[in-house]
Amino acid sequence: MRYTRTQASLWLAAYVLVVSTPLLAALAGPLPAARGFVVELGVALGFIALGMFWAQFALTGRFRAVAAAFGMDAMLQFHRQAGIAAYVLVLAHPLLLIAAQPDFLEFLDPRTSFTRAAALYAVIGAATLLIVTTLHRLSLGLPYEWWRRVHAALSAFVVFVGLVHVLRVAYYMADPLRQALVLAGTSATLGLLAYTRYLRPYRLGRRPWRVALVRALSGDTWSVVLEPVGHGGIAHRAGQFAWVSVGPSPLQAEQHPFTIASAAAAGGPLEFAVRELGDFTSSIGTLTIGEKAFVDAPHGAFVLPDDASRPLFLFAGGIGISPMMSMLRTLAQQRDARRVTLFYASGDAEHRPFSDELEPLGGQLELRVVAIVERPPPDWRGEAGRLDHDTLMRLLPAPDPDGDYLICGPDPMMDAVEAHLLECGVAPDRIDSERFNIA
Amino acid sequence: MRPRLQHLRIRRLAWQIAALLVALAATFALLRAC
Repeated sequence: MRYTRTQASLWLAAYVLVVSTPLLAALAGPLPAARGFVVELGVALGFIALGMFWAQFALTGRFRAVAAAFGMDAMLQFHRQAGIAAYVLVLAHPLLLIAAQPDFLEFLDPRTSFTRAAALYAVIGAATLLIVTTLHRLSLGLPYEWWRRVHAALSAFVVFVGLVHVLRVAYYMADPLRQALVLAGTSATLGLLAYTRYLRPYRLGRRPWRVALVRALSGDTWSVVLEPVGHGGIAHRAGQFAWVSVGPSPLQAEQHPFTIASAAAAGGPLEFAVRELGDFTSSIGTLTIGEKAFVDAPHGAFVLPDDASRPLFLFAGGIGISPMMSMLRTLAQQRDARRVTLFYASGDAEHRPFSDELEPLGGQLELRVVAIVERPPPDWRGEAGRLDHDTLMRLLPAPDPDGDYLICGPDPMMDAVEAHLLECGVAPDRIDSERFNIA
Repeated sequence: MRPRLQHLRIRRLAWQIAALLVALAATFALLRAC
């Protein structure tokens, strides 16, 4: 499901409204004495920063209605940029105030009030840590789950201190009504955090799954089948993904985003293709049958287009084949007659998960598979090379402007395919893509 | 995450909205200071 312009505009308007709530609240009701422009700007930026921090919690709460409009990956990207912007505003707030009126330095003076100064230094430190640990998570070597916990704790702290600061300063927020509004906004965001981190896992815990099958697909890729225990499972569309955790309780287990490779269904078992990449995925082969698992799904807006009258072009790189398998299996089940071309690129001929299944699928579908291998063995009969500009010029010199184009794979491949399609005049809204590794 | 174009588009959108919010703050300050 791709977003419509109206849907997206409505969500953006809602975002701006939420963010500007503290500022609008400051204007509602009796106003205190006016100060200079720079002081008022500094104060206003502080209110905006608080509103932006509120909205950050809604952006990453994995709320399906919002994510369906933009795609979860786009939401995370937006969250990241908005976080940096909010940080800049948090710093601008005291800097502008002090620059305009050095008396404001008193706020940071422990001799005036130790608690206040300590809290304000701590919040600046926490906000800085939030940004540094996020932008440099990989180079700092922080494990994903550890980072996620610290990120939640630091952001809750920033919002909490922000609230106390607004209530204690009480220049604009002096009356009980406006104080209640800021308190409600902050409580709602902390409530969202509690919902995402505790209540949702608790609810997931009441709908357990079990590992039903683990088999090696090819080389470093495994197929894992999970089946619902005591419930019907979940309905999902072809191309969507799930947050999966394996362990006795969803509150303790780490969650990992895995694409569903099985056909779209209204319930029942789910198959995931998992490539050994990092800490958790490397141990995937050691999962035992019957082990307890939890599935938070369906998520994602990268799905099989509905219109069967348009030819479909799929570009898969490596493990990016997973959502494409879900789509092909769904098309086969539905006896869909549309023309499908799959470009399947991989490093070598051994690491091509699902390649054995593509041939029988070809018998049920109008499917053409173009296999591209970077390091082909001597007896390789497909294409050799990478799925880059030159290969595309050779294999797809004139893409059908009426087709749907779906891309999933490593970044350079996705960039090359996207650039080629746009260059050849394919409309941007006919191109959809998803990076596999959103963590 | 999406390819470069989509990334740049979202990045631009996020900063455009941030600019809009700063403009809102500046309007507030102007209203108050005048």
